[in-house]
Amino acid sequence: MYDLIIIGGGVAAFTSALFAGRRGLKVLVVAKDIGGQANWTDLIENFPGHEEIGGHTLVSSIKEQAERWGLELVHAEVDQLKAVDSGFVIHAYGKQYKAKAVILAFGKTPRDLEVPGEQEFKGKGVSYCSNCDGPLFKKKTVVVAGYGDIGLDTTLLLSRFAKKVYTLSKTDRLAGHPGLVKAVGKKKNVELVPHVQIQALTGDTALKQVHLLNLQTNQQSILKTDGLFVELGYVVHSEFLQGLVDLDEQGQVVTDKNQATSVPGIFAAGDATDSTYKQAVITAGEAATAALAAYDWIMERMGGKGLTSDWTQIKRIK
Amino acid sequence: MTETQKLAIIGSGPAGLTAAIYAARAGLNPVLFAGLTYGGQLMLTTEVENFPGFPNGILGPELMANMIKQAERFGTKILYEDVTQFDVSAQPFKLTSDSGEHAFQSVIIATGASSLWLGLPSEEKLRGRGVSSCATCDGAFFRNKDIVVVGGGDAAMEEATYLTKFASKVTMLNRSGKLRASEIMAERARQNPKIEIVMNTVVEEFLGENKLEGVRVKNVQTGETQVMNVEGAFIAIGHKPNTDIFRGKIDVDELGYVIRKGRENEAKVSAHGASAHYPSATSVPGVFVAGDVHDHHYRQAITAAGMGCMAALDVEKYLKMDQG
Repeated sequence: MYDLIIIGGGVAAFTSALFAGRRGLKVLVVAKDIGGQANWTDLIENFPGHEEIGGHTLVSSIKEQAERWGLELVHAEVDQLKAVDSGFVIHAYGKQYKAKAVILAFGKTPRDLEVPGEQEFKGKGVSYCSNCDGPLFKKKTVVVAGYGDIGLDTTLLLSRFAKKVYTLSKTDRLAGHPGLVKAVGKKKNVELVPHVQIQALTGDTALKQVHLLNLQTNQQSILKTDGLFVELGYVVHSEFLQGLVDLDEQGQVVTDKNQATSVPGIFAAGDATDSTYKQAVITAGEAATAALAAYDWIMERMGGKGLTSDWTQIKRIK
Repeated sequence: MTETQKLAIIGSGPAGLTAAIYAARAGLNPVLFAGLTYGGQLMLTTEVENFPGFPNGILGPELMANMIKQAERFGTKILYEDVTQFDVSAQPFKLTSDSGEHAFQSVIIATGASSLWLGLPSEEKLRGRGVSSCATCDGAFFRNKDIVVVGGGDAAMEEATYLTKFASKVTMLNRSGKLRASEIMAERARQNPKIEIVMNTVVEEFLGENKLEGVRVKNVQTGETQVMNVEGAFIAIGHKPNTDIFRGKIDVDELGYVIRKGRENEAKVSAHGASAHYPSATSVPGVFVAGDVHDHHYRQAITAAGMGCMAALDVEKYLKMDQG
């Protein structure tokens, strides 16, 4: 029996483990893989306190930090989560694990283009996060494959850094919020490439060409570029939670300001949730909150009163 | 008056600086009012063990220096000045500091919280001379001495327990007949042979000229007063948000913490499309909030930093959508 089981293996999972461990909880992390979305980012330059850090390095260092507070780790994919009288039972790779509380921190997967070359150039010119990687393409040429407001948002953001932004559309225009469409229209370095679909990606050590098919003429063409931003939304693999916790229409776990889900004792943090923004530092903040809220919940069930500030556990100087 | 700039950030703890890193990186050229004493509560710490990504711990001031460097690297202008006047009644917002009046399209409030004091004149006089609000800062000065801790919450219990490492006797003064602390924390203090908890008792005066020599306490039930000979007094009655200059201008809760209106405003902002939802919005459009000045429960460096990031992303969206 654990106090807390955390499902996931990225920034959210290990930050939760760190804060829960510091509260003295017995913590098990069940992770399918280690790293989460941070693995797709070579270089994070906006995580506060780290001037530059690789995505995988960041996750590994948080994992190491959590391990100092007694985290146990099992590599497995969870296929079932059940509420029982004394807490929760998790099934993963044929084994059962029990805990008083659960944190869902299994993240989210950006939707792929599903074209040849995409897997090869992930993190090498192909990015799924303009907020993360946009500034790395200063004065360079980039292509945006996106739809709706996210695609427009990405185009606008990149137009501030890139020399040239090609925005692809399967029709003759960009669809989305009129204000955004207008703002994109005003950008001189943005060019709409109409009626196209990506067929393949090629390059050497990094992405160099995007191969396009014109849907009207059936003609093929090649667009030379330094980067491709894919913004087709994200997929949450939350099927195992259906019928247990409330999910929104995209399958994201619905949370409140304490990172609580619709089921008392189950909390969630990070990209698997319905939070507005997906950034490592926000995820880490939410994960800390989820761990402390889980601690509060366990303490209340045991007749205690919950949280005291963690500040008091920090050594101070004169 | 200078020309209108895009964004002012008030406060230079993890919330304000993370907001600055994100806003600057997005090209908003933020101006950060760091205050005369910059860096926030982490400047009072040594080792921070719970900031994600530092498995060996990091010194609080070093962590803040890193963030300042990062914010400046992306183009944040940092002013080491306090904001003395705050006017968000109309656009552009006007902020006054030592260097004069500045105009902004948007503001992020990240002024944090400070320790509460009892408010006695004698307390102010002897602050740093035996009267302290930080047991872990000053505890070691009271080796083998008698001290008092004022307060009855969890933080007070924790401070008192910590202080028994140094002090020969710790008397806790609780103003009512009931402790606010959780049973676990209170029991830990009760079982400590060096701690005595005195109920229904308040401090009337801190005694001494250049250093604390005693406290005059009063039993609020019997009205009896008595002088306790102690050399140290620790005030552990909680924290207060740094919101004095915002009072009456943006909505705060009954404790003075800035209220986030994000979710409540959802219907209103939906006119701007699904992506226009501002989790860090305050009661005034264009003014956003992050960190301990909003959150009085979790109060972690990383939770504050996360909120700072959110506020910066909100501002980016706000300037794009609502300010053309």
